[in-house]
Amino acid sequence: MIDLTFEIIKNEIMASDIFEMTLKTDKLPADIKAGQFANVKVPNRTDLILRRPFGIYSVNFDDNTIKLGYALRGQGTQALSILPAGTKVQVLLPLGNGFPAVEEGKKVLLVGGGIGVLPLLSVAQSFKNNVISSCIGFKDASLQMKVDEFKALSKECIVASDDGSLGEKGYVAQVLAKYIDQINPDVIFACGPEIMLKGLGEFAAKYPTYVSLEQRMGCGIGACLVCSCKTKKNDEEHYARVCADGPVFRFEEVFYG
Amino acid sequence: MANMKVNVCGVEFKNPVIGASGTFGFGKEFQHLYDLGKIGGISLKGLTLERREGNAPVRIAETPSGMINSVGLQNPGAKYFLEHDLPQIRKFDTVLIANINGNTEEEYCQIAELMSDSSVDMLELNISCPNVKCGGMAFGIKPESVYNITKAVKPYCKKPLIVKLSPNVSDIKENALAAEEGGADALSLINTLYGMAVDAKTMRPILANVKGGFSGPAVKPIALRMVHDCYSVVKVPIIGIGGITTGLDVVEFMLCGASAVQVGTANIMNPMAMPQIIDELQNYLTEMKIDDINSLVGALKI
Repeated sequence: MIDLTFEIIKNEIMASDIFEMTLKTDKLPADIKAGQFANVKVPNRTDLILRRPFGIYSVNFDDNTIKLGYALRGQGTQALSILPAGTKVQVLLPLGNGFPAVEEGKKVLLVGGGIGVLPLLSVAQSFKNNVISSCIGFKDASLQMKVDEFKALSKECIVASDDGSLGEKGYVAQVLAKYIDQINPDVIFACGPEIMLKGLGEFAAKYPTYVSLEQRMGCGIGACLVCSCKTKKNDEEHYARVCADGPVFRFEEVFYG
Repeated sequence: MANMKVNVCGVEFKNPVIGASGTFGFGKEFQHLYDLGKIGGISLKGLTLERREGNAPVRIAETPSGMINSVGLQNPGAKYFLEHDLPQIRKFDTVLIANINGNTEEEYCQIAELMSDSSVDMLELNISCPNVKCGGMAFGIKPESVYNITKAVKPYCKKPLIVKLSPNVSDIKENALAAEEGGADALSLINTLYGMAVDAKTMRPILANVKGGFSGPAVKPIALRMVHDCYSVVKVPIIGIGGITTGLDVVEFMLCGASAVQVGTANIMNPMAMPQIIDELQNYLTEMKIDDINSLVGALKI
């Protein structure tokens, strides 16, 4: 990991209240993996002292750019959303474990909800030796993002929305239930709201499932111990660090009992 | 180059910039970012005899120029630390300070003894953590209990003993004097202020533990005042803590009487904070034509 200065190339709205920021630096670290994140300092705001952790959903080593997606949640994301191209920002990356490598030829099912689809897009883009299927859901059509990209990168792509204004009507887990046997994945990678992830229990019981989590974070490198989540391993419960032990965990490690 | 070496109760630091307990882990996380041998020292993550899981999340809230945490002394326990973490961190050329905690006086004494027999260089008695139910701040509020716990622990310390003071007290000078009388070799201050953050939309506290320790640049004026207060009454050296993010902040604390400083929240804001602060400090000395950093200590002109 390294703390680098980036320049904003583009910073624009991608869906209702969701932005994407394209950032360029002189030389990207070579070891960025799908599902890892970056900790972004809000420039020129001494009142906003904590960095904001965002998933890196696209990496281009040719032009040394990365893309981050973020939802307007508070003062920090609000301040970032109005930054013009050319602004310099300090970014610590790559952070977290990312999604595990999968054996060549194996079928990977991506299950995402809302802004949680973005880290999965990085999997679809970089797991070139795997067969990718995806099931992505949004609250409504106005919140859709990257649907065309998922369609292009997946063998099959199921799209759902809570109100039926886009794709099939229903929650991701409900819609996926109709297709899961047919997809028969070797592994499931999921990211989205906690309630969506929890709803994947019946699939996780059948297929190895990994989930990427969110938590309010501090340092982003595992030192300050604030971004905890309770995990269970070998029958022992303990607090893991979402930033350093995660953000990707085995489903049964974090959702149990 | 100006001299940056400082000596705190017989322990030499290559510069006065020390990582503050709780913000720097056991140092390992930062070793990939810079050479830990560059910093003066590390006050290691607070240790207890037994492993502690800490408090339920959410454990952090951002506030204007500050933050509130409620980690609750999560740590793997003293024995695990000695076996697994200390050997890894000891190889770096920097002063190591064990931050010790207990639920009872007896536990404080036991962990002081255990750490004294290890290769750490100093002990820091944490009687000011606001995030634990027993022990912690309970020992650090009343001057008489500060005196009692320091006096009880001191005989078990074969290494210099720093007592870390709470700012959540009526007169910190009394507590500083009590720690000194109890046998403290040095004082460190301030620990976090007891604070709270509320989300108006959800009508709930942001922290699961409701309240927590407030730190960051916002607390610096209070910390400076308290260092200044304590420097006026005690003879033992003071390690200043509270909202330091720049080399000039370090200078301000030293002028108020600090012999060294600890950098806490800045490490969370910016993982490169400490080496940058050390460079800024060196630049300040050069620009001001000061050849020994120790000449700053207590040199505030009033």
